[in-house]
Amino acid sequence: MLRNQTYLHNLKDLAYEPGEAKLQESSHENDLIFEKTSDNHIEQLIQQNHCLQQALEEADDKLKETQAQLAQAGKLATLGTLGAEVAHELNNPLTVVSAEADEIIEALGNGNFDKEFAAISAKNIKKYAERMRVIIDHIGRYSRDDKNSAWERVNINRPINDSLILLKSQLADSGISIELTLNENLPAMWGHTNKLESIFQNLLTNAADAFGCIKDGRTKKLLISSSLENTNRILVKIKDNAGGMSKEIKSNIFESFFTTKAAGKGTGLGLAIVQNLVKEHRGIIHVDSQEGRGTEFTLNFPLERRITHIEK
Amino acid sequence: MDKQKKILIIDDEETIVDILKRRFERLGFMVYSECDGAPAIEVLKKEMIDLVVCDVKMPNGISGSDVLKASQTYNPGTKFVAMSGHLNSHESVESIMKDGASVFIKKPFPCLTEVTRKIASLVA
Ligand SMILES: Nc1ncnc2c1ncn2[C@@H]1O[C@H](COP(=O)(O)OP(=O)(O)OP(=O)(O)O)[C@@H](O)[C@H]1O
Ligand SMILES: [Mg+2]
Repeated sequence: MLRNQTYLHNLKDLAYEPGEAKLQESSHENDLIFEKTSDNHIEQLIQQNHCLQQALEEADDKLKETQAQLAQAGKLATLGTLGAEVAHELNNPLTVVSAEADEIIEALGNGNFDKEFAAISAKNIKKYAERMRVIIDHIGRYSRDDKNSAWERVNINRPINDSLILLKSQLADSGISIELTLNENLPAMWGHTNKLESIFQNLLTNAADAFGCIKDGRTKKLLISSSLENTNRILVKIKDNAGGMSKEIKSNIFESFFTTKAAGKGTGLGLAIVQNLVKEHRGIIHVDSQEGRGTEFTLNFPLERRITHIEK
Repeated sequence: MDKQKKILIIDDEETIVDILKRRFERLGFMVYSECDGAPAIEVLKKEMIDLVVCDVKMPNGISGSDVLKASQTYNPGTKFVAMSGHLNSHESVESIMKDGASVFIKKPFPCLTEVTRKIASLVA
């Protein structure tokens, strides 16, 4: 079979330079599809077109800048392969934003500006820009800037308590009672306070969300404990008696972008990031869950780092 | 256009399907659209499609390659345009081109107007 194979993205004629090639084009070729408008009118529309294009380019630059900042702060880097997945997840909404902007630009350029169509495009731009914001926001929240803290000897109770300070009132407002059983005599482990705090914040937020789905009036209990195992490992358990999860859901929870929550509420990044952070501590995360009964996450960390950590 | 051409658009992102649908309708196509591979294959069984535009990576087990194979079986000679936004899609792009896709398009589109016109010209 002989076929004409073309990689569009490699074609010179598609790699248009914003601002030049495209303006000429919208005045000739569109009359294939749309009616012609007077030259004067076209002049005016080209002007508007140009403004919109500039706005789009600026928005595009902003996004690139944000991505660069995230990468530079070492945030995406610490997420390992998550970086590529995050980029992909941003790509779909970016495709929509860019294509809908093209729709408006073209409609302005050929004088067939239909308010109703433009409104659909503008709404989609807004909606998908919002989706990108939520994703970027989550990454920022769960992988805080590392500059203010480093790898050190940490008493695990500290990041547990610190993350509770942030979430306590939220948990209490939702009628969740917290039972803390922290071993006061734990040796310090080798860890990163901010990263540990991110782990607990995320697990506690998930538990709070799970309780949010409970409508049967049960007493909502969240048990948090820390203890020593075999003199050389730290154990932390976070147990809720919310709705639990099915086997199917359980087998997917560490996948990035797997979520059962409404769009805008969850991105599905939380546990994927948690898993990475636990790995950075050479720890193990384990989950036990019974549908309808509750969920228990167990974290198991070594006290010592076996290999010297290379500080950045 | 002497006879109205039929185009089938498949992408798991509904809004991307909508945007392409709007465009190709304006270009005079009869548009069929799906957000999943399985129903798309059903369309290929029933209709004589002139042009397929399909996302390479889709959830629910049926990939762009499967749709391409179905298109070759049920609609031989149909032009197939593969789309993808994956960074690490180099391998899947190579393989879908080898399998007989006519064109590969990267998402986001550099310019919607030019991309859709290029696609349309495949069956002009
Ligand atoms: N304590 C829990 N009880 C019941 N289900 C849970 C619990 N923790 C996690 N899950 C399930 O695992 C899924 C994935 O969790 P994850 O933290 O990765 O993402 P998310 O909470 O949905 O979104 P994000 O954390 O990005 O806001 C959740 O959507 C939920 O279905
Ligand atoms: Mg979460």
